[in-house]
Amino acid sequence: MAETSQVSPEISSQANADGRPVYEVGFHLLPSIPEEGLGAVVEKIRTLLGKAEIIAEGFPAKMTLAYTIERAHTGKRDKFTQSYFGWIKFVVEDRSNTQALQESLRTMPEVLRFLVIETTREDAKEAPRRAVFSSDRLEGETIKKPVAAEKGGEVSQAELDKSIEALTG
Amino acid sequence: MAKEYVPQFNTIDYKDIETIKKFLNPHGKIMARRRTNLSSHGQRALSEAVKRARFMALLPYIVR
Repeated sequence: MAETSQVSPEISSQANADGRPVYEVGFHLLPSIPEEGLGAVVEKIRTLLGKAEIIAEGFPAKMTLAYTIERAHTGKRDKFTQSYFGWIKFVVEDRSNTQALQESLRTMPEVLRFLVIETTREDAKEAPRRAVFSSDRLEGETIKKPVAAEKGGEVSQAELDKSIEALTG
Repeated sequence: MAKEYVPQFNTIDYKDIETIKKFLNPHGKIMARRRTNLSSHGQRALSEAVKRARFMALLPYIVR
């Protein structure tokens, strides 16, 4: 199971000034691998990258998965709730190399799941975010009904007295 | 007059779960653009990141 997707060419051209595409492979390794054996597996994945220049890396760390991943292996369905998650960001010369990488990762028994994506050179977490305040809108304010001018007319004293008497009885 | 904070970003890392979670409802669904206040580009980046994170079991598909 793998997924390959690309960010828009506009973003990648902005980020990768040298014109070479930057890819990132994220992978889950089986939780049954001993801690001391993780280095060897990562090294195996690094060799699959070939001549690609590695620019950033996250060493596999144990994590609890958000849902149980099932995998059929040697006629038995294994369930995993934990894994070692790691990632490697690398620059390639030729985009077609990533297809071979995906094929190789698919056949690796230690890899539970992986994802190869095209990304940007800088870390998205580190990228400065612009705080933009929307224009002055009348949000949250009650729109008031325009007050109509009172129609005032002259009332004679006699009429006024008559209406008061009618009210008081 | 109330001024509203509008977060802006063009890229969002699928591994950055803390940021992504701010834009999900308690059921794990992506909030609408009128709630996230993101630009159309930002909303698409968010949507892409959420789907990648779900595939990699960093986020659940559904929360009951």
